[in-house]
This record gives sequence, C-alpha cells and structure tokens, in this order.
Amino acid sequence: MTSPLRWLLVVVVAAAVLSPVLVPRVLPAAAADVSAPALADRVRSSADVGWSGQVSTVGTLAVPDVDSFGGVADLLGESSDLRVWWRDAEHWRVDKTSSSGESDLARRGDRAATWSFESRRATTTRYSSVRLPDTSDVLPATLARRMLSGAKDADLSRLPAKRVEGHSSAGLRLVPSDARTTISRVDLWADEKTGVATRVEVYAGGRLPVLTTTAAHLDLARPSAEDAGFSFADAVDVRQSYALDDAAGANAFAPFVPPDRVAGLRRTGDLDGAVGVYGRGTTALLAIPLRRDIAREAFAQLEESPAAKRDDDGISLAVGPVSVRLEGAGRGVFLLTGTVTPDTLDRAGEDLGSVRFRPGRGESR
Amino acid sequence: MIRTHGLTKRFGRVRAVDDVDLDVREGDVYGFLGANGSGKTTTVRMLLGLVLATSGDIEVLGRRMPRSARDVLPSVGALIEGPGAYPHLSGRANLATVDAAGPGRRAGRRRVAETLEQVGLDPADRRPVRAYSLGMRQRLGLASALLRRPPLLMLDEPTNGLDPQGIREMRDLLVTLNREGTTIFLSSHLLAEIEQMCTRVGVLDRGRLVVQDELTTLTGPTGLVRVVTTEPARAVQVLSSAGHRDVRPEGETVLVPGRSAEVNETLVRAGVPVAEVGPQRRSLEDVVLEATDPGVFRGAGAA
Amino acid sequence: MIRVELIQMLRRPRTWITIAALNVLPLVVAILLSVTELGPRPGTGPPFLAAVLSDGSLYPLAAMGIVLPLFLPIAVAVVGGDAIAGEAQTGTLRYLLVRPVRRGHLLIAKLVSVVAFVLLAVVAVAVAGLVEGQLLLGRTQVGGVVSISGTDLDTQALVQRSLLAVAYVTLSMLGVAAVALFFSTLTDSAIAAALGTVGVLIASTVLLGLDAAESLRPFLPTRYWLSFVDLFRDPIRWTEVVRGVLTQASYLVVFLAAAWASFATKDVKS
Repeated sequence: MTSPLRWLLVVVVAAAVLSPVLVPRVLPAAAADVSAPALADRVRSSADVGWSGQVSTVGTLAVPDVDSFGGVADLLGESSDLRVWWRDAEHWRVDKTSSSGESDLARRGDRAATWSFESRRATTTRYSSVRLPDTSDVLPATLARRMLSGAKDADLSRLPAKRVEGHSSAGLRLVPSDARTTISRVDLWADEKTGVATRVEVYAGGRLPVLTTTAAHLDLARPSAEDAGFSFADAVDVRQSYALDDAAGANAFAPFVPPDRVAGLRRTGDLDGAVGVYGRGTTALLAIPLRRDIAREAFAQLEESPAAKRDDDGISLAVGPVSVRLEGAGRGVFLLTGTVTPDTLDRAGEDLGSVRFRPGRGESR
Repeated sequence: MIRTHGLTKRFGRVRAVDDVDLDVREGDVYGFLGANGSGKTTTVRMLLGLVLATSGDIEVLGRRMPRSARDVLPSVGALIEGPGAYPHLSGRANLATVDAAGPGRRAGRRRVAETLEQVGLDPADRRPVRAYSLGMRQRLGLASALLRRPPLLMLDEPTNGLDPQGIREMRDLLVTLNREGTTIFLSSHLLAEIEQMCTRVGVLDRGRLVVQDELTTLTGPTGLVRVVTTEPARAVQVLSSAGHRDVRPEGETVLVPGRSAEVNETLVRAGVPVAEVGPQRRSLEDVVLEATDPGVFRGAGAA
Repeated sequence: MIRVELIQMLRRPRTWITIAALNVLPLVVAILLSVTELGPRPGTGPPFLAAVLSDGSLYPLAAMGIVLPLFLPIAVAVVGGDAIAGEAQTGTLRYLLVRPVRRGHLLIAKLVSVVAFVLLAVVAVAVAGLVEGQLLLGRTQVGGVVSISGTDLDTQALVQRSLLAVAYVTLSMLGVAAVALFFSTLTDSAIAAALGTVGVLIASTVLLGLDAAESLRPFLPTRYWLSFVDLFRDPIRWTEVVRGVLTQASYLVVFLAAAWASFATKDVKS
C-alpha cells in the first residue's frame, strides 16, 4: 500500500469514528404540525409526565450574592450539570453534579430532602411551594411550564422542529406582550407527544439568551421510586431543617399578610403565607418579608453593587431581566424580586404599604 | 547474494542514489567504497529495507527486498552507521534483547558469550553500555551482527572508532569468517581498508556506481612495462628506434607497451642502465581517482 | 516483541523513577491535610479531597484525582513520545527493524507497554493512596463509606467501583498514549514528541474552558477524564463514563492508524 493510500485510510477511519457524534447533529428532526396554543397546552400539562435525564444550564446573570437569595446567584449566573429523575410533580430528585461532588434535592410528597457531599450535610424538611428558585426550577420542563403559565395565545408562535441532544423536539416561541415584564422572548422546544420540554432559552432583549437549559439523554419513562428517592447512609447525620430556604421560612413564620394585588398583579400561590407571590408566567414577582437583622445585612450586600440605586424608601437593583428591591413596608422590610421592570417593582413596593401585621404568628408553629 | 537493478533514491530533488546496479556474489568480500555523503549508507539502508527505494529492484539472498524482509533479514547480520544499544543495559542484555525481539529461536546464553568473546568483549562484564568506549560499542554492534551466524554480513564502516590493534583484530575476524563461507558486504570511505580485505570493489561517487569489478582485475597489469633508469632520454630513443610505439617518459621512469623481458633485453643491449623493470600495476587509489576525476566527472555534474 | 517490550519497560530505571515522582504530590497533599486538617472549600479542588479528612478510605480516589489532570498525562506523553523516537535516538530502531521486527508489531508492542506503564502507575498511586489514607487521614466512620449521593457504599461495592475507576483512569490515558505514539513516529526526538503531546493536551484543556468552543467539547481528549467520579454516585452515572471510553477508543483508533500510516513507509535514517 502506498503512503497516500494509507493516509486516505486514516481519514476514512477518522470519519467513521466521528460519524456517531456528527450524524445526529445534522439529522433532520421529525416535522411537527401541532398548533402553537396546542403545543403550549401540552407543555403546561406535562408536570406529571415521568422522565429522567441530564440537564445542563447556562446562566449569564450576575445576581448579587445576597445571603437571602440562597443558591439563586449560582443558578442564574453559572453553568450547572443536573441529573434528574422526575416521577411526577410531587416526586422527583435533582442532583447538581460537579467533578468534586454533588448537591441533591429531592421531593417526596410534602417532604423534601437535601444533601451536599462536600459538606456532608443532609437535611429533611417540609416541602413548600413558596420558596426561592432552586435546581428543580431550571429544568427545561419546569421552566417551560412556568414561562407559559398564563401566556396569551396571541403571544405564541411555532418555531421549526429541531433535534435537541438527539431528541426530536417541536419548537415554540413566546413573545410576551405585557409591558411590565423584562423578558423579551422565550424560545423552547418540547417532545411533541408528551409536552416535556427539552430546551428553553430565555431572552432579555439581547441577541443571546440570559438563561439556557437543555436536557440530554432524555428518557421518557417514569423512573423508579428508588432512583427518584433519597436513602441516606447510616453514617450520615440527617438533620431536620425548619424550612426549605429563607423564603419558605418567612412564608411559614413571618407575621404578615401581604395585600391581594400589587402593581396591578394578582396574588397567586399560597394565599395563607407571609410571602407574596404576584403574577404568573413571564410577569411575576416575589415579596419576601425579612427579619430586621437579615434585612440590614441584605441592604449592605446590595449596596456593594455599583448598579444599585438608593432612594428614601429603599434600594433597587436590576440585573438583566431580574429586578431586585428592598423596601420598608408597614412594620416590616420586604425583599422584592421578579422578572418585571424596576418601575413595576417600585409600584409593587408602594402597594405593599397596605401589608397587614399578624401578631403572634411566629410562635404558633 | 545482493543484486540491484536501477536502484534510485531521491530525497526531494536530490538524487542520493542514482541508478545503481550492484552485484555481490557468494563468497565475496565486497568493498563498497565512497566518500562521506556519496550515498553509501542510503544504499545499505535500502538493501535492508530501512529506506524505501524511489525506483529500482533489490534482491538479497535471491529474494526481493523489502517484500521478503521477514525471510531474508534473519539470514543477514548488519552493522549500520555505528552501533546502537540501550544505554542502561549490559552488552550481554543488549544482545539478548534484540535477539528476543525478532523471529526464530533465540540464541542461547552460551552463544551470546561466545560471540562477545569472538569480538573481544568480556561476557562477564556487567557494566551498562553507557560506560562503554566507542570502540567497545563498535565491537558490541559487530557481535550483534554475528550472533545468529548469518551467511551474509552487511557492515557499514565497521572499523569506526577502533584503534589500530582493534582494526587488525576485526580484519582477521572477517577474513576468518569469509574463509568459513560468510559473504561480506563492507562499506567504507577508507581506501586502504578495502584494498587490504576485499575481493571485489564497487565505487560510489555522488550516488552513481562508477566502478565495480574484482580487485585483482582493477589492480592487475596494465600491459605497460615500467622501466626505471638514470638515462630516460636515451632509453626512449633506444626503445623507439627498436620499434616500440607510445613510449612515455615520466621523470626517471619510462612506460612502454610490451613485455618486461623484451624491453630489458633491448635496453641492456644498447647499454642503457636499467635500475628496475617490470609490468606496471595500478593501485586502487589510481582507479578511484581516475573514475571520480574531478575535471572530467564533477564538471559535468550529475544533477 | 510485546514480551520483550514489557520486560524492557519494567527494567528501565525511568519507569520506576516516574512512578515514584507521580506519588510525591499525593503524599505531600496527604501530609498537609493531616497536619493542617484544612480541606478545600466545597466545590473547589480535586474530587474527593474535601471528603478524605473524615474518611481516609477515599484517598486512593483523591490521589488519582490529583495526578490525573496533569502529572499522569505528562508521564504518559514522555513514555509514549519515547516509544519510537527514543529507539531512533539510541540507534536501536534500525537494529530492531533489520532483526527483523515488523513495523506494525513494533507500534503495537510499544502501545501495549505504554498502557501497561499507565496501569502500573495508576495502581501504584491508588495503593499508595490507600496506605496514606489509612495512616495519615481519617478512619472510616461507623456505618461504612458514603457515596457521593449520600447513600451507603459497602466494602464490596467500594472495592468494585475503585477497580472500575482504576480501569477507567487507565483507559483515559489511551488517547494520550496514541497521540504520543503518533508524534513519536514523526520525529527522531523523544522530547519533541512528548512536548507535542503535552501541547495537544494543553490546547484541549484551554478549549474545554472556553464557552465559544462548546461544539468541540465532545471531541476533546480531556473532556471526560474526571468522569471516574461518576462511578461513586448512586445510581452510577454511566453516560459520561461510556462517552469517555468511546472518546478514548476513537483517539486510539485514529492516532494508531495515523502512526501506522506515518511509520509503515517511513525512511528510517536515524
């Protein structure tokens, strides 16, 4: 065999080796002819569809590192790799993996468990629907459901189908018409039959998405309860935690009753708690009452950010689509945050002035 | 034993070896002579399949090379452009390692020791080759070539780095081996070495084989009679008038075609003093210089 | 030839010096950890290092994690780069080839010997790690070893998974070995071949950290190196491990073919 022929053979071998990776990339996706509203409905009603796989998220937002925000800064500002077992809306497990360990979050009915390998800390606690965003909120399926909730049909349009990590997915675009939201557009792709989203891109005016989340190795079979559950080793100290995070804690124990409506947005979620969740979909905000000491700390941390603006009633900060405001209202201090314009958040802050005090609540639980 | 036909090797635009037809016969001690850079080593490497010819055919031990390398090379012992050895191993271990790497039955411990002794190395020497002198390494390289008692030896500059005593021992060893039936192909840039040992000679000049013949033919009588006399002018006159043509005086020497006895008789009868008379012989140096004459050859220049 | 190469590898002082050098860093880390009891911050540092303070039986894995990203590949690059070029440098290549040894056989034998070296080195690091972990670091707590996911890992599972990790780390070096072997056929300088290989690895590491090169990531040889950590999750995450093995196998096949293409008709002038 001559030398050129030999090298040709090497090229052929290289091509053969690369093809299993390259072919799925160029393979066309199965055409989907479902209408945009119908596809949105399927996505919205996919919460109880079981699936498992790996999710990678890429966030580009520099959310200030305020203690009260918990892991939100990491969630929106960094890339993360997640392993997901989703049995239904109330039974799932999401592991955030890295080469140095993992931190897990699992829900089984009204109980939640967390685990961090590096700090060897395990906790169990009551699950709370009112809480700060966590890893389970940036899964394509949950993020798509949240973004589409309350979306108007007129704001929806279809995108061409494409393969997301090899999984043929139908495309959908949401361009919110509500002037109060900071989110300019959401592009998402979902399994056409089940509505389980495979990829979501959230845009805030720019050319590039501020948050992207993609599912790989997607398996649309319901994972076993064993995989989706949590069973700590005997050597692990499992602690009872009083709440999932600061927001959930405040919701359960803070002595406030937030108003029914702020900045023209209706209160949704847990109407019994002290945390106010207003609006839905792309136009949503959260008002969390803070203890005095925590509020002071949060104020100092927000003030460190050069983009923060102080005024008589509090301090405001806008990071991409996320607006943050710390405002004194009634007898408390509220941390407001959401994907709404700073003006909307200001107005919401003013409206929070009508918050009612509910004495003695903290001790009752 | 070795035949090539039109053997050519080009490196880029340079013809390192150009249309060489070698012919080494069984029982020869073939001297392959050429200056450094004349293409000797490239030729040897082509014969052994290390360098692939651009064109031309090679036959070693009656088989095509490099196609039949697996059948041919076990019967060839080679020393190519200096010895090569693993510096951290002893000479003994080096021999055993290279031997074990190839096909066929391994040489026993006794054969390894015997070969080392044959080339003048101490089989009990446990020092790593790192500590060897150049001459010792050269001996080790020769031992490696001899280890399997090959019928054909290809030695490239085998006396490199050896002292005069070592060169003599090497020469004696090769002569003995040749007498026992080993064909030896020996390349060198040293004229004297070739002249002392070889039965056939090939001369390579800038890639071309310019001479190839038996040493005895090359250095045989030229047909001229060489006369040394104190009166060269008279000698020329006497010889010319006696019917000898082409009489050439060269200082005190006169060259004339014919036979020694006749020429001597003519001169003595005419009273010309003759100091020496006999058939003229050329030295190998003359042959080589003539074949590679810079005036004639280099001017034309093989491109 | 393979046997000869293996014996040669074991006989070379360099093999043992390299393995000893590989073990220095994990030993220093173990001593520092046991003296200062300062683990790396969560989420930083080599895998398992945060956990070994309380559980020394994980130190073999931490030790592998310490040498895997840099020292082990450099050692493999040096040994692999030496394969053909080193023989050319000592002048033994021509004698092997006229012995005769088939060029393809020589490449395979060299590859096998490099892989054997890697296995030897990884096992040495793991065993040294085991000893260091037991002597210097925390004893296993009552109740056994805990997996990364917080579940029980009994001794049998730990041993099985550790053996798998050793195998995986060894396989991870196949790509490096093949690239080094290829470069080794291109040059007569062993150092040049080793440096070229290290260059490829550095390029791969740089690209891996670059978001703009995301589409290239699945093809990078260093992409799945640390995935041996996945073997200690519960359930085991096989996806990355499998991809890692496939990536290494691909590099092996392509670069071994390239080494053969380059070497089979190469003029040996050394």
